[in-house]
Amino acid sequence: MAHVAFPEHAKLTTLPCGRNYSYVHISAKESKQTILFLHGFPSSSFDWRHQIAHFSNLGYGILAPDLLGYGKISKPLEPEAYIGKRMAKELAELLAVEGISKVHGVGHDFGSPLLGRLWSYFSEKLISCAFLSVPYTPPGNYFDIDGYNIYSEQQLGFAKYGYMRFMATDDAWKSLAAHVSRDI
Amino acid sequence: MYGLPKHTNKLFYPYDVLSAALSGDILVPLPEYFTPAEKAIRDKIFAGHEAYRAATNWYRIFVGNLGVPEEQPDAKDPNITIPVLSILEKKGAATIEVLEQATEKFSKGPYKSEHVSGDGHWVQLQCKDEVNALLEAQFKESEFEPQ
Repeated sequence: MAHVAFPEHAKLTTLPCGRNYSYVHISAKESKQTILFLHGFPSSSFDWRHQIAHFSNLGYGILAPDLLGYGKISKPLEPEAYIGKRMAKELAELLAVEGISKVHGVGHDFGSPLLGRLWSYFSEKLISCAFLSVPYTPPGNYFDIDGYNIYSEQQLGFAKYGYMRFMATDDAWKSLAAHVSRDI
Repeated sequence: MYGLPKHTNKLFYPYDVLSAALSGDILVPLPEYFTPAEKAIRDKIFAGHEAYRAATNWYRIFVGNLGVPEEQPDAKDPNITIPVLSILEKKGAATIEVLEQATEKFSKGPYKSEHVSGDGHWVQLQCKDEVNALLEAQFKESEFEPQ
C-alpha cells in the first residue's frame, strides 16, 4: 500500500462520504496533467511503481490510490460497497479533495472496469483512458461468467475465468492469507 | 498470480486448480520482473489473516452481478469519446480475440490498441518500458486540459 511502498508520497484522507483512502500523490509540475492509476486484484498502488517513478520524473502529477478493500483504507465487508458506481463516486471525491479537476485514467485488471465507471458517471474528470490487460466494460450489463467459461473452453481448451467463483467464496480469502508468501 | 501464462494457464485460471494450488503450496519461480525485495514489500502489504477478505468482494460483485440493478437505470451512453488506449499482453494461449476487441467496440474517439512483447497479465511490471512509452505517447497526443 502507499505508505509501505511510497512513504514519502503517501497520504491518508477521509472522504466526504466517510471512507478512508490511502494513496500516492505527487503534484504535477508546470503545465503537466495528473495521471490516475487504478490497480486490480490482488494488487495495490505498489504495482504502479515503475509508472510512478517514470511519470513523476517527467513532471506528471500522480494519484495512485489503494482501492477499496486494500491496504490502510476502509475495508467494508458488505459486497455492495464495491459496486463500481459507488467506488467511482469515491474516486471523484478523492480528486476533489486533492483539487484535481481532470486526469488521464489508467486501469489494470479490475482497475479497468472501475475506470470505465469513472467515465460513465464522471466523464468530465477524464482527459483520456488507458485499459491494461482487461477491456473497458460499460456498466449496467450482466457478466455471464459461465458463458465466458464455456466459450473460453471452446477457444482455449480451458476455462479462463474458472477461478472467479472460487475467489468469491470465503475459502478464497482464507486460503490466500494462509499462503500469502507463496501465492505470488 | 504474478506468474507467467505457462503457470497461470494451468494453476490459476481453470476450474478448481487455484484452490488446489494454494492449499498444496505449489510454488512457481518468481518472475524475472519481480525481485525478491519487491516480493518482500508486497508480502508486507498483504500481511495478516484478513488481508484479502475485503478485497475479494470485487469478485463477489463481479461474479454475482450485484451492481447491475443499481448501475443499470442511469447508465449513460456506453461509448467513450475521449482518447482511448488499450494495452494488451502478447497474444498467446490465453488470448480471447473477442475480448481484445471489446474496448474498441465502445471507443468513438481516437483509439489505439497495442500489444507489448511480454505474454504475462502484469504488463506494467513485465514490460514497464514499453508500457511507459505507450502511455507517454497517449498523454502527449491527448487534448491538453489544465488542472
